[in-house]
Amino acid sequence: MINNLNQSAHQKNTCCRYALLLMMLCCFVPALSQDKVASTWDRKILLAHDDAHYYMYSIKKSHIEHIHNWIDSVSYQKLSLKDGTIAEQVLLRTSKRTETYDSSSLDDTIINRLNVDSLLSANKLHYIFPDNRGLVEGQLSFNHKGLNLVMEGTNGTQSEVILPLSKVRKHIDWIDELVKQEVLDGKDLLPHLIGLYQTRSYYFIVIQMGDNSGIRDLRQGILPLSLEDLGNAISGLASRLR
Amino acid sequence: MISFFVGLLSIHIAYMFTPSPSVWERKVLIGVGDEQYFNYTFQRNYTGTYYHYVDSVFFDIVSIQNGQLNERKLLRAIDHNDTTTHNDWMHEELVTPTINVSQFLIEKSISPVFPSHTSFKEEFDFNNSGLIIRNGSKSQSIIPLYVVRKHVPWIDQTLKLAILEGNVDAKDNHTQVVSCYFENQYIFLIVQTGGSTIDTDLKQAILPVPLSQYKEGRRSLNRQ
Repeated sequence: MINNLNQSAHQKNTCCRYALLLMMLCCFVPALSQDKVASTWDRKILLAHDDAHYYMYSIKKSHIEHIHNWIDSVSYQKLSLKDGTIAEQVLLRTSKRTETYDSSSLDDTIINRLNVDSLLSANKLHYIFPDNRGLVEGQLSFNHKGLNLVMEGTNGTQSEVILPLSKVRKHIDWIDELVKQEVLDGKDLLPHLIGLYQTRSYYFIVIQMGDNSGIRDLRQGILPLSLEDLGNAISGLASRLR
Repeated sequence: MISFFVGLLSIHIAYMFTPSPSVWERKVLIGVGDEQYFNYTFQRNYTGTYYHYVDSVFFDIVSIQNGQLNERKLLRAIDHNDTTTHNDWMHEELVTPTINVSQFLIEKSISPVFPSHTSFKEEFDFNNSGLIIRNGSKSQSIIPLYVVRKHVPWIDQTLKLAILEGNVDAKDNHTQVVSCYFENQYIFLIVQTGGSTIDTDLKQAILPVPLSQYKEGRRSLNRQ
């Protein structure tokens, strides 16, 4: 009986060891098969907006180990104008490129056949055009307070917060990094502006950080700004410059 | 500062008068093949009234070599009409897209393109000799004007305007490079002019610059 007990204990022990080994393998094997991302590029193409949402393409490239191996993805996104929450996201395409010493392969996959132009057309969503009326590059800046309107007055440069950093962060989650970099560089302007778009009710500010040279991250962000928020900032600034 | 408020004021005043017809055009580069590039063209036609305009969206296939439009697909055409002139807008979709762009690009194995650093665009400028690159007060021509003209058909207009305004030191403020993409041994420049008011044209064009020519230009510039 004691032998039986010992045998049973031994079996349990062995089972435990196997279970533990299996658990470790379960954790380890996916970790091995997971690709190591060296850098990510993210391009955003603003398409349209309505009263509550804005619509865009988000195009991502994740470099695996080195610059010639990557995974691409193209998604269509619908986001809240208020807080940048993704209300709808459709992954349209993924591509994986693998290069070795003697071969290279490209595995392109259609994930969803959604025709974005047809969708926008069916919902009567209208495309947005670049516009430099009113606002120009030198009049905007990001700092630890958020997005600011900057003006030269007789009493020096004055600025007024248009959107606090907490609100900017909702749309551009990497903004703190940009602000930190700006402070390090001793700049307070917006050298990263790549697009300004205006419609009847909104400005859309498109910014970029990083680039596509070498193994570095490239990020783009879209910040919707209501004409009402801008108007308030202008009034605040005008009263101080008066 | 005053000019800023005057600018904003002028937008509101402008709405009170009848505008001239104008066209706004936005180009979005989406992919590059061996001999052609692929882009969206968003076009807005202001018809000379504040109460009617037409938007069009095209998918373009363009020759890298000479800027020739090899194929153009109309994706959308939208007629916007303020029926009472009191903000009662009717938006009528006139066509149905005949192509699924995303699917087309996969079938052609065209990968999406990504822009270079925002500061890179500052290197480029235009003058009477064509596209130039600058380094302080030094400059070097890299694409002759007759080649630029093939890709940027409105370049002469903006150069003339710069000269008329006495801007003869070759700096042309009317045309600027707004973004750059490195792809397939080329640098694709998105070039823009105008667009300051509703009755002024806003134009964008895509100018492919062979990487070899850019590098050669940079070497010449360094030797100066």
